[in-house]
Amino acid sequence: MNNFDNISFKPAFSHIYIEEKALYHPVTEQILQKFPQAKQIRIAHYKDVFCRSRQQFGLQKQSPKLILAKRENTCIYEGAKPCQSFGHTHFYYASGVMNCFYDCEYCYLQGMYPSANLVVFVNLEETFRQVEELLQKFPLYLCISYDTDLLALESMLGYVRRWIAFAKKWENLTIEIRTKSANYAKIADLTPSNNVILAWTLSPQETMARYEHGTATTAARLKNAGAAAADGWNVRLCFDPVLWQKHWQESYKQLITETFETVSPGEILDCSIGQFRAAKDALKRMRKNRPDSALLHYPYQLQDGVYQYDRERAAELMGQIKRWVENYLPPEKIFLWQGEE
Amino acid sequence: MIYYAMALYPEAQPFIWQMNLKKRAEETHLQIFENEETCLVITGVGEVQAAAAVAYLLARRPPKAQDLLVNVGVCGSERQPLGTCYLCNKIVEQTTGRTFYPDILLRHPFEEAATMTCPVVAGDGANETALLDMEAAGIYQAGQMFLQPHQMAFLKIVSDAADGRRLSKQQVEQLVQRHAETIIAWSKQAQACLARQQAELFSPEEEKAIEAAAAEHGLTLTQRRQMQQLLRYDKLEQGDIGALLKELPERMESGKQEGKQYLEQLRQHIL
Ligand code: SF4
Repeated sequence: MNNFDNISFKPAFSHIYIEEKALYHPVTEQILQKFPQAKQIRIAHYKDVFCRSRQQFGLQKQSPKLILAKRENTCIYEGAKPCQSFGHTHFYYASGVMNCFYDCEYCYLQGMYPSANLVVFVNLEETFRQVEELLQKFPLYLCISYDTDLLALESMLGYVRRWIAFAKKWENLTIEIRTKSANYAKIADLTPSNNVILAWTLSPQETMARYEHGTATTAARLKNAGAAAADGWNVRLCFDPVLWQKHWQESYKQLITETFETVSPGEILDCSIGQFRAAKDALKRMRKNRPDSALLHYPYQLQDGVYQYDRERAAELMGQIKRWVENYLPPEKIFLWQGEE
Repeated sequence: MIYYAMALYPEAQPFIWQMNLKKRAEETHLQIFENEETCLVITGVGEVQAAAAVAYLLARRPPKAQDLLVNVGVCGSERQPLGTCYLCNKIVEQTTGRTFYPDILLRHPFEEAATMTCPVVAGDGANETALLDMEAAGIYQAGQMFLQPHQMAFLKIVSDAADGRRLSKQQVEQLVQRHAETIIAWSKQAQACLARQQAELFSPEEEKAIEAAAAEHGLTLTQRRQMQQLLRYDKLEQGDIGALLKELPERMESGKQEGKQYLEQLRQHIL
């Protein structure tokens, strides 16, 4: 009992905080059944836990807790300017889950949220209602896996299935589901929809192993993307963020070759290439949360309030990767995100 | 450093004895006991006294990122078994209805429960929390001025059924005694675990070498920050900057250079 020599962090979701309003929601009950060992703690409002002052994001990431809440205000937000709209006029994102089960060192969430704990809004029906309201006014391009990785949480939440079913009813809605998971099997039984885009973020395997903690291997993601494309889904590939490192040429060349050997270029909807970028204050917070990350402590240059590689290095990286991708895809299928657009 | 806060001497006595803590004679306002890595304060009973004592202690000895504040005390409970030690995962301040949530990130050997901090512990059968105590909310509020939510642990040992019955000093001491060894061992390991997570990047020698190089090349404050950033990146990437700091001046064309030139060479070398 008194030997704590190997004291370690508690497993993820060892504690589940539940808003009183969310207590009897079916999604709450479904989640609680999955974690019978978790300590349940009742709270009045998710912000009482999520927005406490002086939380240590980096340490919390090693033992993230779950907060179940009910969304009562806006669930849909207009996409920020530097974000990726892929040419759509009305680009919005849904924030049904705040924070991510994965732990990428470059993740902007660690510069944005006061806590690493995951907030799940259990009343997805409210989000659907708000989307329907907007759809009465204009067609919508909606990223539903935005401040999280929704497919990574599919076994627990089942939200991706529900979104796909919802999208089927609305022709003027296009949804993008971006992931670093290999959870395609969880939705592979569904009939592909024209207005659903499954997007996989891809990094060289050594980048994945070093910086994208907890995510699926590059090979597993590629296999998933290939299977989804072959099944007839719209598949998007995202080389984003592209990271500079020694021997980046070999790693990215190999990644791109492997990608198009696994996923048939003819079956791909499009592809995006984006360089690492972080708003000034966000990077400051990210560095504070992760004092041991070489990636975050790289001496980026501040250009227009955004930290990024210096122009020369960025142009070299982005230009070269684009040229390699162009060997497989026509230029109109390649979207570049370079600094502020 | 581990800071302990106990309301009464009998709650502290087993800890003082087991860790061989010495009373600080020069402290006249409060009873403070310490050794090299521990500091224990007897706060007095009630939220306000407890908050004042903890604030005093932490202001006098500012804690570091790896330090821990542990509040240990007896509490009342109408439902929980006598003698059980609980780690509080929620603290409700009865007078205001405010709630506080210490982060429980590390594994521990205790039961968990919520406590309500009340001016007078008297159960009425309808309490929303399992435990009733008199200090936790005050200690949390004072502690959070200096510490992060994962740096505070509240351990409450059930001593009565919240029925107003008073325990003798010996009874309190005996109750606490049963858990003191476990609490001490766990707190030490928890603090060591936090220390491992927050280790400084540069060794004292490296700090010195950086300082010397910055002074030699007459770096301004901004340039020093840029130099720190470059070296931090290099250390994280390469694991060592000793050779770089030694070799770089030799490789430079002239020994003493303008700060700007020095920084540029450093940048080129690292990137
Ligand atoms: S998968 Fe995306 S949201 Fe999740 S940690 Fe990585 S970057 Fe952040």
